Amino acid sequence: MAFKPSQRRSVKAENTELDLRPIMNMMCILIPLLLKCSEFVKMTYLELNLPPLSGGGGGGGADDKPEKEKPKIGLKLVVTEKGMTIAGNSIVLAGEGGTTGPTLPKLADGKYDFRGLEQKMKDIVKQINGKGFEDERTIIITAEDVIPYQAIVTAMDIITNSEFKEFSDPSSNQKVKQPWFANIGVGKIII
Amino acid sequence: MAFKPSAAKKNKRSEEGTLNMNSMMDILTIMLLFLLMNFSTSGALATKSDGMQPPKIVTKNKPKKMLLINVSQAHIFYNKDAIAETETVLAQKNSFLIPQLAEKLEEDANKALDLEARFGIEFKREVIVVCDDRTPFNVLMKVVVTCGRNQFSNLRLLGALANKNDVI
Repeated sequence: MAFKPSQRRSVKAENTELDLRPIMNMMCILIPLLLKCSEFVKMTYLELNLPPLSGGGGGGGADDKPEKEKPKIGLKLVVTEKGMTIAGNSIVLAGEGGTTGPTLPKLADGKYDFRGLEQKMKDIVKQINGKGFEDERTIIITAEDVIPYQAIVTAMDIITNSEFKEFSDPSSNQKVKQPWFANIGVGKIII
Repeated sequence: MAFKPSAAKKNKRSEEGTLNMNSMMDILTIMLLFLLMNFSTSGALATKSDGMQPPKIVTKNKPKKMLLINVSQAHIFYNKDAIAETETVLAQKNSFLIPQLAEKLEEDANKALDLEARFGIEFKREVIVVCDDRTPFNVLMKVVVTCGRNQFSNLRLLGALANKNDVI
């Protein structure tokens, strides 16, 4: 028995258009969803470099030469609920009225006086520049337990941007600006 | 005199027009790609929520993805895993170390040191710390001390870029 001839030859290729409606629907849902979820906030960071862990022992190796020790200023910023106090190893900066309170008391609206802190930092840098302090570019921030993180971060931010030091880069012979207080640490006063 | 019936109306045929969606599709595709890229880069480091409002920072630095510690109002997260309750850490009076965090950091530090020794991949000791802006200093100190004790000495305090006038 002969086979029936195939019908394939007579099948016409139909010109069908792509139905874009489902894709369009999906797009219309996805775009508002992503717009709602995405926040156009640029992230940034502040560096906090801790000193490396000491291996114990107190030094005193054979290669250590007795050097004349440079003086240390030991700058500290203490943030309390009353305001901010700036201190050194042997001095505490008094406030405007010369009282025993913080160097920069809180403002009338309850906010910290960060503009005042910026000015004080500029004054301090002017005074200590060239005096040969070993830790002239170091400051330790400490605070009471309840002080919110934003206040600490803003204090660090203000100190970083208060004053800059210029260096000449030997590789490119260009001047590079670096924050004066390159080493900002956080610490805790244990009484 | 009667008006002649309008020939235009009578012979008017309703034509079937198709909407050209090509240009619209192009716009939507570009927007979708842009939003997807934006979503993936900013969303990975910090997700804003009620218990996690990153602080405002003026200094401009471009953060990179690295080890991440999140301190929200409720929990402390280590690479997105909740490891301790912030309230418990706050109440802990005897020590500055957070044991759960110390354990995880030590584990990762050992792995990184091993890689450094075997393959020469430098252990940079970097960690990103994202804290809620209301986090008390006490908790911050405990996180900082725990990181320092476990060889992560280069901390990056992450925040949202802001204008100086908004911060002061």
